[in-house]
This record gives sequence, structure tokens and C-alpha cells, in this order.
Amino acid sequence: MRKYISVLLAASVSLASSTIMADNNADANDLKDYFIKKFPGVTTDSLVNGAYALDEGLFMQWQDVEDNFPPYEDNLAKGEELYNKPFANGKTFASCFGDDPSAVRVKYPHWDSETQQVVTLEGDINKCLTDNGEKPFKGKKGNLAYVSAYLAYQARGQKINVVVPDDPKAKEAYEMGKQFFYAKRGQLNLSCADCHVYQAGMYVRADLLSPTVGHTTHFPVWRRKWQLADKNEDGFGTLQRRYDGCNKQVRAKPFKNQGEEYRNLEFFHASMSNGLEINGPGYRK
Amino acid sequence: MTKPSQRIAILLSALVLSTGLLSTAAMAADDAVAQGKALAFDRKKGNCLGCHAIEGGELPGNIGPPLIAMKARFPDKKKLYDQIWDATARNPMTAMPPFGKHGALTDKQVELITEYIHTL
Amino acid sequence: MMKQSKFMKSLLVTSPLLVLAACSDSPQQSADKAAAMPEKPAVMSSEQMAVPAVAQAPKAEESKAEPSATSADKAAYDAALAAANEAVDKAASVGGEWRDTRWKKSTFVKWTSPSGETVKGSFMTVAAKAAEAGDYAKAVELLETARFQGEMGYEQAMAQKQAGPVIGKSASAAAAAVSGDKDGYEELLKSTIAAADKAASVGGEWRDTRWKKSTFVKWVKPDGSTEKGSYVVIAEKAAASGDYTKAIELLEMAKFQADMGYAQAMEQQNAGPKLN
Repeated sequence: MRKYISVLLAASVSLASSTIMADNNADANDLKDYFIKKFPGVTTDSLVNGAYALDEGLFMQWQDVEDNFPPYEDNLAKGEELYNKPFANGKTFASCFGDDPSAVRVKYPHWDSETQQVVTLEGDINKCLTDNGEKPFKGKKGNLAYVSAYLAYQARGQKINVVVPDDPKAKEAYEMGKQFFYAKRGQLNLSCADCHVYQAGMYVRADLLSPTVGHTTHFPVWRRKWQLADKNEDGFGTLQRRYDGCNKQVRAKPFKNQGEEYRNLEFFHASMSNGLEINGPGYRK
Repeated sequence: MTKPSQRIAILLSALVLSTGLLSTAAMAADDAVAQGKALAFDRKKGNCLGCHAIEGGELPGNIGPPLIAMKARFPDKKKLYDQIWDATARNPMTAMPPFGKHGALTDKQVELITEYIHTL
Repeated sequence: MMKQSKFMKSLLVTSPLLVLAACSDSPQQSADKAAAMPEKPAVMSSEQMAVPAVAQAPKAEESKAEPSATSADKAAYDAALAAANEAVDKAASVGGEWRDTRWKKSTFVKWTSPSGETVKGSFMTVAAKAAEAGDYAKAVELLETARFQGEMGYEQAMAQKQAGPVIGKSASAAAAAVSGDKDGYEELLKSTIAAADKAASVGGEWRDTRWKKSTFVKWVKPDGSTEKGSYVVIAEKAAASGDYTKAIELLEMAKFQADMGYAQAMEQQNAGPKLN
């Protein structure tokens, strides 16, 4: 009978029947098992290092950058400064996030039962600003990424723990994020999963594709690619900046920054790293 | 249009230099292969090197198999054309973009790339 | 002399063939696919968009000189614009809009205007510029590509609606499909039919397992069209199209239903009124 039930579960998900199965921890475990089998000798915990977990040579080079001269240090310090700088009304971000800056990052993303939507850290940073009569930070980089990076840095070592509550709307949001992740899109017809599940560990040109488990632990990231493209050589960007880039690479029109599609995607995507340590901000190629 | 007299002259010179005519045909085939290679290597066009190793191509990816022994793998050139035009027809899960179906390449471009790949 | 003319003859016969082999359209396939697909415009890629300014310049002057031709062109442009917008709106409504169709930030299409200015943008942005410059032919061509991209983006999003992980059990089915190995499918089909027969033998067969009149299972084919039927019927169609992954997935469900139908019938053998 148990066998039947598991077949039924699999079938009902794949046929997207009206029953919604949203066990994010089971999904995360399936993916972890998948990657551990795919990459002999690689531990689940090391997946927080992304593609560098898969290649010792690349890992050594990367460790060298992270340990000796992380290029993000100055802007990380700016993040701290911004976080503690009083608003015009005299309050600071602590009025929204509490007194302990190390306790913030781990709460995101989460389902907000009041507004019935997924809330991200970057979304709440800007909400805090507008609630206090300040202008929100623009876009997917700059100040928004600095503050987010500071909060990630403060939370290093804590474990990602995204919860999908027992609320049909929350489960639906999770399932939408999951479908988004696995759906092929754009003229090049590639899904997130094509590169970061099925082809993880392979090379596209000279780029080693990272496994999706461990992705969100190291965001925001400082990318060398972004650094080189920026006139101030600022390489910081948020997770949703990366979504934007990935969608453009497969020739799909990117979705709205912090819009429903990307928030739901982040809800699913972050869930896949449940149990893994936060190690953001990270340096990437 | 060339005049009949010109055509006769061309034919005569071809008779004398018969290898010249042979090379015209060969050049046309070479030209298709050369054009196909340019399209195959162009990052904004075929970008075959993104996923496949090809002799003479730098920094190839390895998602797809190396493009070697193509005549043995695709005795029927049309099958190779079809694979480039829409690889999802054979395998819906494939990571290979359906270049022709999605208009990332024109049918003519797929054809030229096929000509080139088939020589590998 | 005799030898040479024979050689020439053979050259005259074979050389056009060589040229044909190198340059002509592959027989059949283009036409076949065109029939199954939304009409694909001939021009697709950015480099082909770059038209020398010199070639365009006289055309613009001509169109200024002939207002009647312009209004006809304008009408064709308006129709193409409406059709493109409709197709792209439809794609966008299901999250299937592509990057270079209409998006303001795209720089994919390059076009040199009659005045020599090089314009970059999406197909629709550049089409608007071309129309502004009076080159309606170019504009319509670009809009046709935009419409095609809209249609394909919509089809793709619809085909991907059920997307989910293919790891573990379903992955082996997918692997079977990739290698073109249909043995797994055929074996499963046999055991499914046997299970359905067993369920039927005790009056326990369910509606959507293999019944010819069932329309319960919907399957979007790779070409975007939809098939309806029972699990077994659709599995057979999927297998016929070469999609063994889908076929096996459907047969697993059919087999499950057949087994459950049999178990249910057996459990219910002594069914009767329970009124107290």
C-alpha cells in the first residue's frame, strides 16, 4: 500500500492534479540525494560553495580570494553603515528588523499570511524604508545589495530554514516557484533546472554549472562579471539580479524585480538549500 | 544572363581547363561548409562550442557529446538537420535549443551548419 | 580526345549535383515543418537586419513621393503591428514572452535607417523606428518575426505548464527515451493491459484507465496541440510520437489504477447494507 501511495503522489504531482503537494523539505532532500549520487565525494554541506565544491583547483583559487582579499569588503562595510544610519525620523533599520542584525537573514524568504504573499529580505528592506518615509533603494544592486550582504554576513553559519506553512495559498506559491524552476523558457528553451540540476557539473564554454542546492546560501554575490561591467567596479547583486541575468541568457524577457514570479521562485529556490549554512555574501566568477 | 557565345567560350575554356570546372563545384561545397563553420562558431548564432567540443574550437563546453565521426553517427544527413532544427522532437528533456523551430537560426542557416557538422 | 569529352560529360552531370547538395534546401523537411508550425518569417537574425543605408535611401524618397503607396503600406504595417501585439500579449499573459520580441531593454536587432543611423532594440522597437523612417516593408518583416516569437513563446509556456523535477524514477524513464529504448515502455504496456484485464474480470475497471471514451487525460504535444483520452490511449499516442518518458509516466498511472480497481472490487465483494 505504501508503494501505491508513493506512486499516487508522484503521479498526482506530475499530472498537476488539483491536489497540491508542497513538501519543500522532501523536495530538497530528493535534490540533495540526486546531487550526492551525481558527484561522488562531494558532501551536501559543501554545496554552499556552488560550482567550487565540484572542482578542487577552482576551489583553491576561490578560497584564496575569499580568505585574502575579498573584493566585496568595502561595500559590505557600506552595508553596515547604511543599516545603522538613522532615517530622517531618527529611527533605523533596527526598528523594523529588531536589535540583533544577525537574526534577520535567516527569516527570509517567508510566507506572509496577512498579505498572502512571499516576502523577501530585499522586499522588506525597501518596505522598512518606505514605512519610515524614506525612498526605497533602487534596482537589484547598490545599496540594496550592500544592506542585504551585511545581514547575510552577520548570519553566516546559521542554517537556511524556509517554511511552507499549511496554507493553500502558501503551497500554491511554492508550487508556482517550483514550476517556474523546472519550466523551459525563452528562445533557447532552457529551464533553471536544465543547467542547475540536470547539467550541473558540466561546462558551458569555460563556465562550470553550479548545482542549485547551495545556491541561495551565498547571496547576495559579488560577481567578477558584474564588477567588470560596472563603471564603479561594483560587483554586488541580489539573488533576483541573478534571475534577471539567467532569464536574459536563455532569451526570455526577465520578470519584474521583486514581482510575484521571482518571489515565488525564490521561495522554492531557497527551500532547496534548507539545512545548509548561510555563507553570504559570496565571491563568484 | 550570359549570351550563347559567352557560354560557349566558358564551356571551351572549361574543356581546356577541366579541373577549373571541378573546382567550381568543390568551391561551392567548401563555401557552404565554411559558412556553416562560421555560423557554428558564432556565439550569437549556433554557438555549438557552448556545449560541444569541435576540432579547432577554443573553450568548448561538454554538455553535449564531442562532434566527431558525424558521418558514422548520422549516415542520413537529414537526421542531423532535424536534430539541429528541433532536438526536443526526439527528447523533450534535452538541453539543446530547438534552433530552427524557435527561429534562433533560419532554415538556411541550419542547413549550412549541417553541411559543416557533417564533415566532422 | 574521346576520353576527355567523357570526363567532361561526367563533370557536367555531377557538378550541378554537388552544388545542389551544398546549397539547395533539404528536400521535404522545410515544407513538412512549415505545415506543422506557426509560419516562420524568413529573416530572423540580427545581422541580417543591418541594411546598408545607401540601399534604403532612395526607397524612402520614393515613398514620400507616392502618398497612396504609403497609406497602403501603413495599413499593412498597422495590421502587422496589431497581430504582433496580440501574439506577444498572449505570450506575456502566461509568462512566456521572449527577450527580443518587445522588451524595451533588448538590443538584439540592429538596423540602419535610411538616414544612416544604426538602431538597436527588440524586433518591435526597431519595427516602430523603421515605420517612422517610412520603411514599412522592413517594419512588417520585423513584426512578423515578433508575432512568430509571441506565438512560440505562448506555445512553449503552455507545453511547460506541468514542468517538474525529473530525477530518480522518472529520470530512468527519461533516459530510456533519450536512448530511444522503447523496451521499458512495451513491457510496461503489457503488464498494464494484464492488470486492467484482471480488474475488468471482477468488474473493477476504472473509467480513465484505458476506456476509449475517456477524455480525462490531456497531453500537450511538443508541437503545442492537445490530445485527450484515457491513460493508456494517450500513452500509446505519446509513444507513437517518440515521447517514451511521457508514455511511461502515463502507463504507471494506468497500472496503478488497474491494480487499485482490482483491489477495490475484491474488498467490496461482500458489500451490503449497513443500516445500523
